[in-house]
Amino acid sequence: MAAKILIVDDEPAIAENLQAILSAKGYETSCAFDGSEAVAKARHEKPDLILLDVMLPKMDGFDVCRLLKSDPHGAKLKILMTTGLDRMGDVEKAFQCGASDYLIKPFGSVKLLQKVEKLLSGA
Amino acid sequence: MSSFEAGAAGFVLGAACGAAGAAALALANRRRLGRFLSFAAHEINTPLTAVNMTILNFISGALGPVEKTQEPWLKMLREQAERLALIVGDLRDFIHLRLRDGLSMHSESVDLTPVLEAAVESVSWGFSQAGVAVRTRVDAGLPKVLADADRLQRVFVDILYHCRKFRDSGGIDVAAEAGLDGRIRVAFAYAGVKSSARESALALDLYYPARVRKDQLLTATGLGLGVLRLFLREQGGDLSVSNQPDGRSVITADLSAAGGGR
Repeated sequence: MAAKILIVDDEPAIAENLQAILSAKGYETSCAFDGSEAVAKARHEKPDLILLDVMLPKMDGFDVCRLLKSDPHGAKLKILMTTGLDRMGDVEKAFQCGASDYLIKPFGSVKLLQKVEKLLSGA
Repeated sequence: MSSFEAGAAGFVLGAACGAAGAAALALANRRRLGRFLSFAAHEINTPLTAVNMTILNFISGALGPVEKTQEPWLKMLREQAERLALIVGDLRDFIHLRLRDGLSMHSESVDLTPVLEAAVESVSWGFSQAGVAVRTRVDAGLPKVLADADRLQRVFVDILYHCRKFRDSGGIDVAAEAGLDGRIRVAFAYAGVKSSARESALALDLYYPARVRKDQLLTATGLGLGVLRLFLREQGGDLSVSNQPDGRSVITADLSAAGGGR
C-alpha cells in the first residue's frame, strides 16, 4: 500500500509542485492550506508523513506540529518541516516542537525524495 | 522658585518630554516600517520560491522530459531566479539590521571549503556561459571559521557577481588562507577597473549604490559592497577592497577563526 503524505503549504503553487513530485513516485497525497485545515486533515486521514510549512494562516506550523505530536498516535507520525532560507531560526524550533527533519526552500525533487524515503523507511 | 523660574523649568521639562516622546514615536515608526518591509520581502520571496522549485523540478525531469534545446534556457531562468532570491534575502537582512531589532544570526564553527564550493557551484553555469572561469584555492589545514554558513555563502555569491560585472577580462581567482594574525582571508581577484584607494573606500559605503556622482568609477551589483561588509561584520568579519601591484582588483572577506584569532 502506498504511503500517505499530507502536504501543508499556504502557497498553492508550492503545494502543487510537491504533489506532482510525490504523486509521480506513487505516494498518496492530499493538501491543506492553513494550520487548522492541516490539523483536521491529519486527524481524519492519518497520513504517514506530513510536509509542513512554518508560516501558515490561522495556526503556524510549530503549533500544528506540537498539537499533532501530542495526539495519541502522534509519536509515530513523521513530520518534515519546510521553511525559507530567510528563517533559519525556525529549524531549531522545529525540532523542539517534535519535527522529524526539515528542508530549506527552495528544494528540488532529489532532496525532497531522499528525505521522504528516509523518514518513511524509519532510518 | 519664582513663578517665572517654575514656568521656565516646566517649559524645559515639557520640551525634554516632548523630545523623548518624539524619539519614541520615531523609533516606533521605524520599527513599523521595518516590519512592513520585512513582510514585503517575505511576500516577494514566496512566489519566487515556487518559481525556483518549479524550475528545479523541470531541470531534474521530475515534471516530465525537457527538450535538450530548452535546457540552457531553464538553467538561465534558474540562475536569474536564484539571483533575485539572493537580493531579496540580502534586502530582508538589511531591513532587520537597520529598521528592526537586529539580525538573528546563527554563527557557528563552519568549514569554509564546502561553503565556498557551494557558492562557486551556484554560479558556475552562468559564469561558464559568459566565459568567466572561477579558480579556487583553499589552503590545506585551514581552521574552521565563525560564521552563519548560509549568509556567508550568500556574501561569497554576491562578491562573485560583483567580480563578474566589473571585470575587464580573464577569470576570477579565489584564494582562502590563514593570516599570521590567525584570521582567515578569502580574496577574490580579477582584472577590472583600477580604482584609487579613495574610490575603493567609497565603494564600501553602506549606501554607495545610491550615490550620484560623475566621478564614481564603479556602480554596484545587488545591494553593494557596503551591505556585504555590514553582513560580514555581523559575523565578526570584515570586507576590504584593494588593488594588487599588477593592477588586479581584490575584494577580501576577513573572517574570524572558530577557535579565536586576533
